Amino acid sequence: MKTISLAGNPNSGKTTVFNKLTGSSQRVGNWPGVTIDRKEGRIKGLDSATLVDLPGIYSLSPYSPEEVVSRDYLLKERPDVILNVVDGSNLERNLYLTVQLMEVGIPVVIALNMMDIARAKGFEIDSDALGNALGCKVIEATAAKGEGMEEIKKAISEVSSSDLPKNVTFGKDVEDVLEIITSKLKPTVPRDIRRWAAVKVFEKDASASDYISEDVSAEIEAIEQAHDDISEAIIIDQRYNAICDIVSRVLVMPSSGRKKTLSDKVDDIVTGRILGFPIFFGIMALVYTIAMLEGSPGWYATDWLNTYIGDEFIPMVADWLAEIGVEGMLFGLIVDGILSGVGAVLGFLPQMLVMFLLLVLLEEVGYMSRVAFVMDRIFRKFGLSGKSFIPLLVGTGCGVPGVMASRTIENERDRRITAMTTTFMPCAAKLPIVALIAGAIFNGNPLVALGCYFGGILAVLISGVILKKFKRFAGEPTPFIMELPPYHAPSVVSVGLATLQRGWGFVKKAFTIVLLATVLIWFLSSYTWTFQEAEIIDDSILASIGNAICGIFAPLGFGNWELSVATITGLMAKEDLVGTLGTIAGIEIEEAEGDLWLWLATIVTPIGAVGLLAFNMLCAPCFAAIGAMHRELGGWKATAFAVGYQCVFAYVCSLILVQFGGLLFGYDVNIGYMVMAIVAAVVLAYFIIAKDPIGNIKALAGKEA
Amino acid sequence: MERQDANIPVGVPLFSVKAGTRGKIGRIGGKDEVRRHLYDLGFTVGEYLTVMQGCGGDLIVDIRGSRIAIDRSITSKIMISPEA
Repeated sequence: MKTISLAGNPNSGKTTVFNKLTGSSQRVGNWPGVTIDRKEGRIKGLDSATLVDLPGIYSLSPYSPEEVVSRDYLLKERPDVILNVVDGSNLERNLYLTVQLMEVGIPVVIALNMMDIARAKGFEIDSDALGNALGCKVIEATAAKGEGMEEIKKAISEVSSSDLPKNVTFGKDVEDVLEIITSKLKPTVPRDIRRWAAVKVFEKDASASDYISEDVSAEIEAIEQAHDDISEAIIIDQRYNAICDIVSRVLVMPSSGRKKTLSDKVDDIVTGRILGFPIFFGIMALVYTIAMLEGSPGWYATDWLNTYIGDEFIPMVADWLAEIGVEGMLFGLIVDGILSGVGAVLGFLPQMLVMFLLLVLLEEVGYMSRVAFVMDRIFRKFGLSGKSFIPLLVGTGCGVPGVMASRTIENERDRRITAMTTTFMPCAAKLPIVALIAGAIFNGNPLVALGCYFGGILAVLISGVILKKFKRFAGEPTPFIMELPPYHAPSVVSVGLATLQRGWGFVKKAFTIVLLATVLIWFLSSYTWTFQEAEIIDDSILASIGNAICGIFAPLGFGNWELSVATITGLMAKEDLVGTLGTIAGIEIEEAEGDLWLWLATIVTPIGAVGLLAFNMLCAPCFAAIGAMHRELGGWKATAFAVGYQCVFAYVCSLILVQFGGLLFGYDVNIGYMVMAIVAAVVLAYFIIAKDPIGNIKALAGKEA
Repeated sequence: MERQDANIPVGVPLFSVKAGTRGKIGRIGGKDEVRRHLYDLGFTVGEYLTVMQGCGGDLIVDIRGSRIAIDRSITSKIMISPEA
């Protein structure tokens, strides 16, 4: 069994190579850090060869946590072959990792990827000469078009464990010191990694003591003096010198290489200080308008599907069931429970597909890393880094990978804040809630969805300010350093596949977790505590549970039991909120042609709908996302703090919105709730403005005690 | 290929130069791990970079053929000597 590991810079196309070689469809995207965990697959057509995809790295000295995964895998688990994916259109920087990989003592095959872009730029690369210089096979490839894949397979199957690459030679003075170090290495250090070990000792790496017991600090200090630099920087510089030397021999570049490219010209506009944010806002507004606005393609298709399911499909199944003699409990379960619940969620599929398509397009083109750069300016004012924005963008698809994407942030405090707040974004599962409320209460106004999106970002920013006041999160924001890969035209096939894949995920969830929940909800809402069939739904178990808790939500404008119960079921999966309402509506409305949207408008006021929406956007996410938070935060205590914070923050925000909004729009004012809202607003403002609110509260508590 | 650190004037902070400026890196300051990451990305002393666009300290630079976006906390710690 041969294990082949991919390694390469972020965005060099490792995952595309992985997908082509294994036939799988892992997520790819045009920004650094799409892959944050290791993935395994079998190489098609090669017997017993496992391919491992790893997060991109710029060097073997990891900077952010997801890079540690790659470094540890390559150095500790030691694959049989490293397939180094090199971006042919950016040789110099990519080869920097390559020369480090050469030292690891594992055979290397180089896939010189993105050759189409390199050729379009007028680069002429002598890949044989490159192979000779490095002592390994170099295969030209364009993974996106599937070019070079057979050659890569052939090279992998032919390489043997003794085909070790050459090591690049550094300057004479550095080599002399390395030779001295090598001669003093512990005899237990295997031959294959002696060069690696010597370099690590030279760099004064933490692992140095594993390799050497003799003292070589005098030699290292002498060379640091001579170079007027620390040993680590000397090595980096030597590596780049060696690379420049190789590149000058194998690459012919057109002389106009410094001209502004089309990507640069686009960046001048979309990352501009004045236009950057308005352009981003405009693009998101367009996305939600196309998906949600009444009369738009997304709205039209959803409206049609909802009507079809409610008016034709469910009655049709009901008639058929009646014909074959299904009645009573089973009939109720299928028609009122499952079909109404699952149907309510599935009806939004067209809008989901439109949303997915547009978001995938933005990711593929390469706009996302630019948005992070644009948002960095705003985020920095709130004590966060634009790096936190990538997880938010990913979280717009699904909170679970969104929370995981926080691993690309190198600073631990910022990483934890991001992991705690990413789920404020309206993920795909929350979109049916948004679409339902927008459609039923606000005539499909796209501002509802846009408000959820930018409201989510605002909630993250405010939380950044508040959380930074806790000692464990305090500190300067992470510096922003991010490569901006050139824009590229999206491929129809990969955009289509990614869209369908996400759409399929949505459908799958509707038939699993939503279906289960609707069965449970149907049961609870059809029976009383004594397991008698409930005459009216208000006698049911579900109604009594809902009535017990709905007082909590009354100040938020949705104090009826149906919406309270639906909010709780949203913990399983956010779509369950819609599924639950569908089921309850299915039972409450006598006739099957009863419409969930019309029914919803009768049980909640517009301002109450705002409260319902705001609370469900911000409160504890689904269990899957809480699990992801637990993995990233590393402990239940921190997770409980995070979930607690989210729920309290959601409650405070909705309370303020509903009560003050109600006052503004002339709703009846409940004095008690209004007092709560004023207190909440004062406390929130205090936490935002005061320098050390926690310290002050502690001091106050201390005085009283 | 010889390093000539002593001959490189340390220069001006990167954030203070205009878009379009090309210059030689004279010094990189800041925390060890950040500096190391910048080195790994190709920001080495003596190497040339070009400011592609930006203002207010947040810049996109061309270094060794790739575009890297960096914010003011970084650009204030990189010193370059601009080409005439």
